[in-house]
Amino acid sequence: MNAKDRMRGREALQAATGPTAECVPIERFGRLSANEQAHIDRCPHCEAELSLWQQFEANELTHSAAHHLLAIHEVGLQYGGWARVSDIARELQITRGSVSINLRALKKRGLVETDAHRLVKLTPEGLQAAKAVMATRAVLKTFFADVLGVPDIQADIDSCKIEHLISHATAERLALFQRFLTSDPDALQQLLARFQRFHAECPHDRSCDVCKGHCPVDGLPHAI
Amino acid sequence: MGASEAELIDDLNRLMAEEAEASMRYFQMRFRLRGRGRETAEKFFAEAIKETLEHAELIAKQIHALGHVPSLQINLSVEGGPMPPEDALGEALDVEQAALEAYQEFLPRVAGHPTLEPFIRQQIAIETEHVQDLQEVLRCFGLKLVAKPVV
Repeated sequence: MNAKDRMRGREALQAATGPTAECVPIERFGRLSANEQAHIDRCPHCEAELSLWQQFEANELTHSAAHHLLAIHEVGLQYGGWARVSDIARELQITRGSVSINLRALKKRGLVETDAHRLVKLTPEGLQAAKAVMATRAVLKTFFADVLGVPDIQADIDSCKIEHLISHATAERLALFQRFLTSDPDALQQLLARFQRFHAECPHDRSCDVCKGHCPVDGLPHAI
Repeated sequence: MGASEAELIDDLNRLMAEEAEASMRYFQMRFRLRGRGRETAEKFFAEAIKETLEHAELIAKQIHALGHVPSLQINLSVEGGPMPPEDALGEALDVEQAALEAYQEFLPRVAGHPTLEPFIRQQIAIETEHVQDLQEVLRCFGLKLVAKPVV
């Protein structure tokens, strides 16, 4: 076996066995250094991970993109769908320059169109994406506020943070679950009352099937 | 004049933020340039960094002259990999156009103001020139990218 074969064997082994200590963490993929890029070039595991990450990045909406789509939709409601860059900037409380740059990416993805006066409108695909984000946000907010009992303002903030991250399938299941819960108002009231009591009766030794020895309830106040 | 002084100051602060943010954006963009025409684009961005910062300072001075302290609100995180000069200049054109529109929309609000109206008019003239220059540079890039016919 020559050196090349040995190298191929090691790469195959690495791909099969998963990451090593040298592998690049996924959160670095957006800002790779030359050394990290060099490692990815010779590591099949990282190469596969990067390819997956790139597919995700290409298909998924970023938080900023989701907010731009919602702002265009919101501002455009009064003007037949068309919005001015200045109004979008005001709505999002950012500069017009930032809006202009972000619109380029949305335009490239076919989610917005502009006219000769630099007015902006959602394309049918953009409108669909905006509506999906709004629907997911509504489902999440209702779940957080009405089922979990999270205060309205916090439910609003948290649903906004994850609205663009969860899959449509999960959002659909969550919506279905809520419809199931609300289909019997009496049973729902009883269930929520039981949930409140259960929360109050969280075991003193902080061990349960959910916590598995590391209680998240105790850790949350220190979360960043 | 249709706007109160407080509203004028808010608008001036926003204009200043446009200029200062553009400067930061160009600063980062200069290091992302790769490929044909990089030197030309680098020269443009080096100049644009200075000019946008100078514009921000001029606006800050106007705010100060009105008896207020400039308030700069920027929420900016710029990153990204290498980019071709024509894409970078295309983004710069969008930023310059946005700045020009901001000045143009602000002009009616300062109509009749002894110092602000001439200042904004002057800025509109400068920004218009910037946009035209950039369009010209981009046109040249387009021409250069067309292959020469074989004779």
